[in-house]
Amino acid sequence: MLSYITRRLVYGLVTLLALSMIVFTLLQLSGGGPLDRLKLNPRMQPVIQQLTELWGLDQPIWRQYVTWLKNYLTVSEFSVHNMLPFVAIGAAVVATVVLGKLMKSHWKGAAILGVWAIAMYIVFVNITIKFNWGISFQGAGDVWDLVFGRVGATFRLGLSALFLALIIGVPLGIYQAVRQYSFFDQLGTTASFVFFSTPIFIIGVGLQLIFALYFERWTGVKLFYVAGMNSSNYDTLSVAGKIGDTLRHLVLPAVSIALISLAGYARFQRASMLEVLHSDYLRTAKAKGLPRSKVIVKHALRNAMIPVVTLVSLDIAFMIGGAIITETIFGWPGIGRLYITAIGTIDYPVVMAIVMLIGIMIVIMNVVADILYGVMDPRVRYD
Amino acid sequence: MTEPPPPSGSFVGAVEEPSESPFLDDAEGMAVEPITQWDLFWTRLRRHRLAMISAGILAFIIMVVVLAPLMESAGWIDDPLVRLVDDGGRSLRNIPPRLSDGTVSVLPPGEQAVPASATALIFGSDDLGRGVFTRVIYGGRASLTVGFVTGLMVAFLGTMIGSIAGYYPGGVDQSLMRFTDLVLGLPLLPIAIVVGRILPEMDFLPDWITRGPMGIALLLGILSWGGLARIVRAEFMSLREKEFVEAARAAGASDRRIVFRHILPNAMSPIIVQTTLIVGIAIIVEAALSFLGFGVPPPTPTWGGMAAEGGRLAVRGFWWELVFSASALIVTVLSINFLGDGLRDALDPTQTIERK
Repeated sequence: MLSYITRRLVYGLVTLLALSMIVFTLLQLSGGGPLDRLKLNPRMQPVIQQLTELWGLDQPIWRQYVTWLKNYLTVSEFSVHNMLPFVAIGAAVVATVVLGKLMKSHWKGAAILGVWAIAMYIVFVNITIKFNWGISFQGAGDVWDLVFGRVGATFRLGLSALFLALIIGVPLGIYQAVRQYSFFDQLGTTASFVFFSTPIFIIGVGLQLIFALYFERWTGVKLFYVAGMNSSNYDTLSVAGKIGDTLRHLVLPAVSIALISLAGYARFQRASMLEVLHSDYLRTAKAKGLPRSKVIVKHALRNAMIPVVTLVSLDIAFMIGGAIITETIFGWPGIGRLYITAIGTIDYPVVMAIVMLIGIMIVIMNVVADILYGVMDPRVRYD
Repeated sequence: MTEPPPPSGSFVGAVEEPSESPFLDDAEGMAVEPITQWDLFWTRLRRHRLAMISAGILAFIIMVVVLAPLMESAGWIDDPLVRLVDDGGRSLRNIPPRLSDGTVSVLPPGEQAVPASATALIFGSDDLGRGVFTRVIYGGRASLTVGFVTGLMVAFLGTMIGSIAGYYPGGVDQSLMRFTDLVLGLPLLPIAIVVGRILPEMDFLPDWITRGPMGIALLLGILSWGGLARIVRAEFMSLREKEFVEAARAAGASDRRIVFRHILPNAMSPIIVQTTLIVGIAIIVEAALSFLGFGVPPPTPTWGGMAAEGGRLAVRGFWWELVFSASALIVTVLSINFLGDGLRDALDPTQTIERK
């Protein structure tokens, strides 16, 4: 399994390298450079010269790419606050060895994954690390600070949407499968088809108009906010007020992302549940005279959840990409909106940083999905 | 009257072509018409009511959008770029949907006003006084171009790469699949946004790529064939070992004949289903790009661009542009997905077979 994961990570690195080359080349192909806006001002001529030299904009593309890659991988700031990171990594290594020897085969992966996730969290909380991702061309500052100042907002939106989609979509799919061909099943299938076929920007704009704008106009009650993550007077609010304010900003964008994922989860869960319900071992379970609820929960559900778990772990990566549109509509200060702004002005250090972040998430989540798949289904063999 | 059992679904390639005369023994009145896989497919598809309705709607949308220039020359709709004016020459901005009362004219720049078509204001007008109805019809061109071109490219590339990888095991398969993994690992939307942003500035490309939806269509085609290639490869790997392929090989059939006559027809079902899925996704991605302003540049109408514009107008209460462009988009993608669902059922040989 370890060699399998290593191999997948190596392929992932190759993909990331290709991704960076493709996007970097594309950005260089644009007619106007990132300094176009400055060129309008004749007094900026010396500044342009300096910036061009600083970033090597007059050099051939491949040389610029090599410079970028070298900088991208360079650690510019690194300090360890205390001894905890070393302790955590040491403990994780020991735990990996011990668990690898002691545990039953298919749960081993999950336990090790969990141990390393906790260790990584401890490490990142107790160190300061910064890579030399460059400086924004639009004067927005250091790219690393810029991007990681916004990742939190994107994660808040993406994880809320994921949570919503899961707690609604999965039970919906299970219920539909158990009551196959009932009216509710037909309704659910049609609804998932409709949401699946609706572009996210239509759902976003529609929700924003109806529940934030028109609702207030018709009733005079301000239920949800149109844009932003918090009100400007957020700091002066009480604790309850803060929670309420956060929710009133969060609900609409989270629901618009969730609706589409939800439709996918419900369809997927329904199909996988139906497959299990029609399997031989389930017929055996029923024939033994087990109560229906026990058959469904204990025998069917555990197997029917396997494909959905992997789908979800892949979805976490795509949600960050998918948040681009929603964040733009709802003025959400996450990396998606930063991406759109940066693309508009070909601010390539920022664009590259975000593209690579999304690519890295996809690679990691692919590997996590593989591990989880093996953990949940002992029949899976890594080779 | 007894009829022979239908040919088993998974061995279509091996089934003999029906003989010239379908009637075996006409003289005794015991004529039996053989049922081909094609007949079964049609029967099953026709049973799928939603898919048939979707196919009808889709055909209608395609016809209207493709024939729009003809309709314009026949005076049924107007130019998507001209502005509508009333009798006094005042521009008709943000007019809610209404039926024509004969007082609406179009005013091409620098020319005399001519009467507008009867449908000029049926979907209202936008903030520049252009008829939304006409723009919705012309806006479908970008979506349908992207759907069609991307669909063709994905079907071709995915089938070709998947079948080569699946038919020739070993090094060829391994290297092609590594390449497929690489393409599948690329995030579609972020790359599409970058390309959409810089496409108009890529002067070294011919005009038909940089202007209009073709560039986006080609890009989506290049990036989205990975899933289909994987499916086709798996299909080819399992079919390659089947007895009927072995029989064909033993009979001395060439690789080309085995692939095109025996394996490919049996792999058609996932190819068609996956391609319809991709067509829907491609249309949505193009609309999203236009919505963000990185798609087909204005004033050319697109459904995504109109939804963005309509969204801004809807804030002021002018809901029609958003509603009609969004509906056109949803109905089109929904029809494609329903049709794909019907095709999946109809192409599945394990489905219960119903006789005519």
